[in-house]
Amino acid sequence: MQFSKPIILSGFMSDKSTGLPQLDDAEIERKREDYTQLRALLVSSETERLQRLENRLTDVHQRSRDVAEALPLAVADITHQAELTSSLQTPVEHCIKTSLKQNPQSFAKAIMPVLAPSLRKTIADAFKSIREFSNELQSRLDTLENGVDDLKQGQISELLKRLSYIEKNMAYLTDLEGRLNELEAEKLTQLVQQLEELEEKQIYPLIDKFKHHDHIISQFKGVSQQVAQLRQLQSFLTDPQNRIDDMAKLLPQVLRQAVDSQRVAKKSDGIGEDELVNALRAPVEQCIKDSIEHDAHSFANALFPVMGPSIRKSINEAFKSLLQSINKTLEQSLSFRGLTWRMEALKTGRSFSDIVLQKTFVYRIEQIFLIHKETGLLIQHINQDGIDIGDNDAISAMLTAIQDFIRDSFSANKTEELESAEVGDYTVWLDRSPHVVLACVVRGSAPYSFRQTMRSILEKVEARYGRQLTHFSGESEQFEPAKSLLEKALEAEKKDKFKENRLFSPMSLLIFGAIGFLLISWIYQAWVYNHQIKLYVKTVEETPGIVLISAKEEKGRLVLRGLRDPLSDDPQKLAQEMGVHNEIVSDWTPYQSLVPIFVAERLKRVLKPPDTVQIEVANDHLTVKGYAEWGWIEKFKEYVNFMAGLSEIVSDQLVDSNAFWTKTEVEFQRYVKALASTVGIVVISTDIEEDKRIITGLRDPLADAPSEIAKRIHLSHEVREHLVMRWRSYQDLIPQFIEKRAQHRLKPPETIKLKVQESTLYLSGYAPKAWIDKALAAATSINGIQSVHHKHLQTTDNYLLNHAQQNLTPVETVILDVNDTVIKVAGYGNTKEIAALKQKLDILEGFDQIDIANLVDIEQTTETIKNTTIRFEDDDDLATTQNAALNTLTQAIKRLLSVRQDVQLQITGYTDGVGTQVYNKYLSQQRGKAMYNWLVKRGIDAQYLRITLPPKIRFGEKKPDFDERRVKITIIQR
Amino acid sequence: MLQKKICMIGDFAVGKTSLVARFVTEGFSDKYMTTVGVKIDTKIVTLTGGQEVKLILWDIAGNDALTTAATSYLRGAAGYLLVVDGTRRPTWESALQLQKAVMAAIGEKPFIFLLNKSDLSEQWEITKSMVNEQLAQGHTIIHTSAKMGKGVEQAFEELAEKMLVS
Repeated sequence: MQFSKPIILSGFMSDKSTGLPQLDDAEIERKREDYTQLRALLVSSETERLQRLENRLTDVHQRSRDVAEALPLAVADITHQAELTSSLQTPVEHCIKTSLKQNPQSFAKAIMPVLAPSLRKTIADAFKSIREFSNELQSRLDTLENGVDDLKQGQISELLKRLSYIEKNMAYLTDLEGRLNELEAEKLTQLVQQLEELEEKQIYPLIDKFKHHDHIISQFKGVSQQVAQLRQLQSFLTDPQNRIDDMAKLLPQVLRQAVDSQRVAKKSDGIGEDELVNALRAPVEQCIKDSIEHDAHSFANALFPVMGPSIRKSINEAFKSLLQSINKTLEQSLSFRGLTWRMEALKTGRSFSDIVLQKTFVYRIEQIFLIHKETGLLIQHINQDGIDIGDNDAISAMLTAIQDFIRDSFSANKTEELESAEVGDYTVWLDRSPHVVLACVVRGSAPYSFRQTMRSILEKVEARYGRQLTHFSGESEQFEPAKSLLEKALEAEKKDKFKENRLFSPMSLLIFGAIGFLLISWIYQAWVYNHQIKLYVKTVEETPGIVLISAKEEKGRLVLRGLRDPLSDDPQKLAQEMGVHNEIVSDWTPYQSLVPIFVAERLKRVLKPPDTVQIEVANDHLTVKGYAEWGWIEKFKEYVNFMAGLSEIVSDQLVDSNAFWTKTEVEFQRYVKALASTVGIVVISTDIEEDKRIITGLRDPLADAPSEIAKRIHLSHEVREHLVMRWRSYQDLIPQFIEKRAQHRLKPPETIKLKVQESTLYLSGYAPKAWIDKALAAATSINGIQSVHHKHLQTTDNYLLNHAQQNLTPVETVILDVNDTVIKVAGYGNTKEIAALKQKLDILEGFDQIDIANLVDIEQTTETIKNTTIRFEDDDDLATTQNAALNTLTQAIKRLLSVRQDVQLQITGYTDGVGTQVYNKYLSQQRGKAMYNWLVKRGIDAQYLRITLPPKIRFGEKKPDFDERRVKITIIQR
Repeated sequence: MLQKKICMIGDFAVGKTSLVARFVTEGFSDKYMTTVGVKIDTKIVTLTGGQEVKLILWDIAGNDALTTAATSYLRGAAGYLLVVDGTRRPTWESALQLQKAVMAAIGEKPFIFLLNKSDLSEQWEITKSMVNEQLAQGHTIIHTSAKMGKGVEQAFEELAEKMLVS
C-alpha cells in the first residue's frame, strides 16, 4: 500500500475554514482545473488501490497465498487453543483416519520410533513384575533394564533437546508474528484514519463546494461508489462472521497452498523448519489426543495390523533375551567355570556379570551395513580395521535380495523377516526399521543385548534421517554423520555395561546359603562333639579296671588321668569305637584290679593254662578243673597262693593228666587185646588226644560190637569215659565170615543148610522157589563167594510131592499135584481104592491144604446115575417134585464127565402104555428131550448126551403103568 | 558416490547374465547358466558430464511373467533393462508383458529394450515394424551382442543418463 501523496493533500487542504471563499471565475477555472487534476490523481490512485484490494479479495490464488502467508501466524496467535482444536478435530480426525485406512504402514512407520520406547517400557514394566517373582534372574534382567534405561535416557534427552529447540523457534516466531501483526495493524489503522480524514476533511468540503456543479457531483458519484465499495470492503474485513465464512471456503486450498509453498521455499534455500507444521503441531497433537480419547478403538483397529507384529516381535525378543539370560545364569552359576569366574570377580574387584560377559560373549562386531530398505542401496558401512571387505554395495544389495528371498519363500504371511544368518564363526544379525536395514556381521556369539543396541541405532537413524530416507535416491553422502552411530555399535564389545554389584545375586545367595549351612552344621557338630566327649568320659569311668581321676580338654586334646589295670579295655580303642577323634593323652598309673574277671584273666595270662583246663570265675570263687601236666599244676598251686581278690579256689577237679593215663594204662591195654583178638576187628593204633584215648582200627560190621566186648571184659567206667573209637568198616574174608555174610544176605529158611568151602557156597535142603531164585541170583555177589553148589537143593513143592507120592502110593488113575504147599488129588478109582486113598490123606502132613474136589469114586457115581429115575405126570413136563433127583443126577453126571471123557450117556424116555404107539413113541421122545434140555441147560456138554427110544414102545394097554412114566440114563463106553 | 539400482529383466536365456558379465568383467561364455533367484554385480560408470555413478546390477532370474519374488527384487530400482532374444520372437512378447507388469509394480521408471544376440542376424525374428511401434511410443531400443560386446556399454550408460535426468 502506497501513501505517497499525503503531504500534498495536507498542504492543499490546510485551510480549515468553513464556507466557500469568494473567487473570481478565472481563479475558479484555475482551481477547477487544479481540482480536476487532483481528483483524477486521487481517483486513479484510489481506483488502483481498490483494484488491488479487490484483486486480493477476489483472486482465490492471491488470497490463498496471502492467507497461507498469514495462517501459520494466525494459528499460532489464536488465544483460545481449545476452540481451534475443537474446530479442527473433525477434519483432522477424518483426515487421519482416511490416511490410516489408505496407508496404515506409513502412519505406523512415522509413529513407530516414538512408540517403540514406550512399548519397551511397557515390556520392561511387565518384566519388573516377573522380576519380583524370580530374584534369581534379577541380576541379568536388571542389566537388561539398565540398558533399556540408558537407551531411554539417551532418546529422551535428545527429544527434549529437539523440543526445546522447537520451543525456542516457536517463541521466536510468535514474537515475529506479533511484531508483524502490530506493524500491520498500525499501518492499517493509519490508512483507515487517513482515508477517513480525507473523506471528512477534504472530500466532503469539496463535495459541498461543488454541490451546485452537477457534473462534478456526477463525477464524484464514481468516487462515492468507490468509497462505498471501500466501506464494504472494510466491513467485510472487520466482520468476523464474513471472514470466517470466507476462510472456511478457502482454508483447504490455503492449507494445500501453504504446504506447497513451504516445500518450494525449502527446496530453494534448503533450510528452515516447516512453519505450517510447527504451527499446526500443538493443535493437531491436541486433536489427535482428543480423538484417540474419544474413539480409541477405531485407531487401534486401524493400527493393529501394523503394530501387532512389531509388538509381538518386541515381546518375543524380550522373551528370547530372558531365556538366554536364564540359561546363561543357570549355566554359569552352578558350573565349576561359574565358580572360577566368581573367584576372578572377587580377586579383580569387578562385577561377576562383567566377568561372565567377558568370558561368555567372546564376540566382535566386524562390519556393520546400514542399508536402504527399499532400494537395497548401501547407506553407510563401517568395519573393524584389518577386515577383508568385499564389494560392499553388492553385498548390501545381495543381503537385501536374500532377505526378500527368505521372506517370500518361507514367511507364511510375508511379514516375518530374516533375523540372522550364520556362516561358520560369523553371524549376520539383521534388524530393520521402516526405512533401513541394519546388518551386523558378528564374529563369535554376541549377547542378546546387542539386539537392543541395534534397535536403538535404528531408532536414532529413523529419528534423524527419516525424511531423507523416504526420498533417498542413491546419494549416501548426506548420511555420513550416521557413521558415528554405527561406530558405537562397533565398540559395543569393549563397553563395560554392567557395573553394578548385586547383593542378592543368586550366586551370593548360594554362598550365603552355603555359609549358613556350614555354620549350622558346625554348631551341630560342636554339640555332637561335646556330647560325644561326655559320653566317652562316662564310658571310660564305667570301664572295669579303670579308675578315672580326671578328664580335661586341653587344646583339643583330651587328657585322662587315673589308674588302669593293664587288662582293662584300652581307652584309645574305645575312643575309636565311639567315634571320638580327639587326640587322647592318658596318664595311667597301672594297678591290679581285684575284680574276679581280672583276677581270672591275669591268671590266664600268667600261667597260660592248656586247653584241657577250664577256669571259671563266679562271684569271688575260682574254679579250676580239667587235666594238665604235673608241672603246670604245681605252678598253678604256687601262683594261687599269692593271688588276692578271691575268697575261694576250687581245684579238686584239676587232675594231672599224665597220672590218669598211667593209672588206667593196664586196664586200657586189656581192652585193646580183647578187641584185637575178636574176629572181624583189627586194631591199628592207640593214641591220646587231649583228655581222650583214641583207638583206630578196622571192623567188619558182622564182628562183635566193641561195646559188648568192653562189657564182657568189665572195662572200667573211668577208661570208657575217656575213650573214642574210630572204626573203618571192612569185610573179613575168612570162610567163617563169608558164611556169616551169606547167612546175613540170603536169610535162608530153616529147611536150607548153608556151607562155604573154598569160595564155594553149598546149598542143600528145600525152600520155596521164589527164595531159591533170589538166592541163586544174589549168592555170587557176596564178597568171598565165587560159585554156588545147589544139587541138593529143591523146591518145597517138589519135596512135598515126593513126600506125598511115597506116603499115598495112589492108583494110576489118580494124579497128585503140589503147588505152593497145596496138594491136589485128582482122578478116579473104585470105592475101595478111593476110601484107602482118603485114609492115607488124612494122616498126610506138611501141606497147607489138600484138594480132593476132583477125586471121583467112579463106582458110586455110575451107580447113582444108573439108579436115579426121573418121573413124569402124563405129559413131558419135568415136574418140580423131581428137582432133588434131577440135581443128584446132574451132579453125578458132572462128576463122571470130570474124570471120564470116553463115555456116552443115553437118555431114554418111557411111557405108561395107555394110548397109541405113535403117540407113546412121540411122548417118550419128548420126555427124553426134556431131560436132554435140562442137562444141557445145567452145563453138560451135549456131545456126551444122546436121546434113545426104549427097545419096545408100549401101547394099547387099559391101565396106565405109572412107574413107567420116567426117563432113565444109561452109561455106555464110547 | 551416487548409487543406482538397475534390474535386468527378460525371458529365460535371453542373455541378461551374459550382458552383465560382458559389462562388468568384459568376458563372455557360450555356456548357459541359469540364474536362480537373483545375482548382483556392481560397476561404476562415468557419464558424459564427468559424473560417476555406481550401478548396482540386479540380474533377476529369467521368466516370461513377473513372479512375487521378482517383484520384491524390483523394489527400489531406479531403472531397468528389458532384454529380448532377437532370434526368439516370443521373448519380445514376454518383454512387452514384463514392461507393463514392472510399471504396475514400481511405477514409471526409465528403461531400455535390449535386442540381444544381434550377432546371430541370420536367425533374426524381430521385424522393423515391431521395433518402430515401440520407438513411436518414445521407448529406447538398443541392439546388443553380449558375445561381441556390441552395444553393451552404451546400453548401461544410456540407462544411467536417463535415470539421472528423471
